[in-house]
Amino acid sequence: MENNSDHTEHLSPISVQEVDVDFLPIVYEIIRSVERDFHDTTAKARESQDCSLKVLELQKRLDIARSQIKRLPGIEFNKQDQLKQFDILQTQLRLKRELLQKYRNMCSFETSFK
Amino acid sequence: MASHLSTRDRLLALIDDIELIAKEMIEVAIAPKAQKLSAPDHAQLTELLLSKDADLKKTLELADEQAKIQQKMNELKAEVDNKDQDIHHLQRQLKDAEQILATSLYQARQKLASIVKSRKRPVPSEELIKFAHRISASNAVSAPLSWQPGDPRRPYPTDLEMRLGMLGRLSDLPLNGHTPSTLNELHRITTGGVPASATNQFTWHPSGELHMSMGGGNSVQIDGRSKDAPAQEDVEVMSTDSSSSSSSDSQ
Repeated sequence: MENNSDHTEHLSPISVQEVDVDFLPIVYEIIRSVERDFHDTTAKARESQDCSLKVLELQKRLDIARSQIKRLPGIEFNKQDQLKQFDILQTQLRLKRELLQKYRNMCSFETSFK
Repeated sequence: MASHLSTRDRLLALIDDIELIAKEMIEVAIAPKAQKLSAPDHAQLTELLLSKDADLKKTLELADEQAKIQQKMNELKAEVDNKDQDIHHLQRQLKDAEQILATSLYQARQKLASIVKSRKRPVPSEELIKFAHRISASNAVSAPLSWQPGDPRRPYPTDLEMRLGMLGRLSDLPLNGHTPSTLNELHRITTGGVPASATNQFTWHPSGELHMSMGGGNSVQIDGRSKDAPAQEDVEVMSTDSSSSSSSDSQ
């Protein structure tokens, strides 16, 4: 399980818009076809087969959505932690810029030798 | 929903919930009429499914925001890496500069020390010139301008002087079946009195020049004896580079 999740994380990241989470229509269709009464036995059998296919499809969609969510970038942490990390990075960058500036201002004399 | 969970875990948990509720609803729909849920329960289940779906959509929006933040973070990380490289580069340059400065400081200190030393014991230029004259008077630095082949006045030792020197003696020793075991013995052999018949030993290397220099033998031998040590030094230097003999003499 751990290896599997690691493997999926290495796949190319996708955007949120690509994730398919429209489960309600298919749930509705399944329930409707279950509750529908058929007088014709052949129609009932066909509907039942159709229904089981839809259940399988729902399962498949749920699995696909799970794998797609694992490929979404930047959701390893919740938003607060992510913002904290963002701040840390910004502070790091600021400090490094200051350090560089310090280094550059330090050598105000000319060095003619190599 | 616990806020410490990551957004990914929250999304996956919501999908699990939706799956569970949908399964429950389908099972209830399939179940015989006696086991069916009451209408309010069913409505509650449906409400729950709808709220979970809404939650999922909301969390996906949050994920979208986080993806944008992540993109900014990636840019920041790239910039931080860039700065890191710059810092390393500058640090290396500073280290180099420190090394160069340390070397030049050391050399400057040495120079200052020698300046102080020379100020303590100044040498008048006249004395230096006198000394230079004295060195060049014996043609130890350079041959006279009017030098011709056969003229014994030359800055490097003559053939005879070479053979009287330590190197000539060394090559002679194995012939006598006697090798010096210690340095003292070697010293005794080389500096000890040269027997009158010593020149006869050199007949194994006959050359025209030997006969020629034998003519002015006395003066040459006296010269060679008086500056025995410098002559040996010359031999060492001249064996590799004859042009450096003058510089080694002047030191």
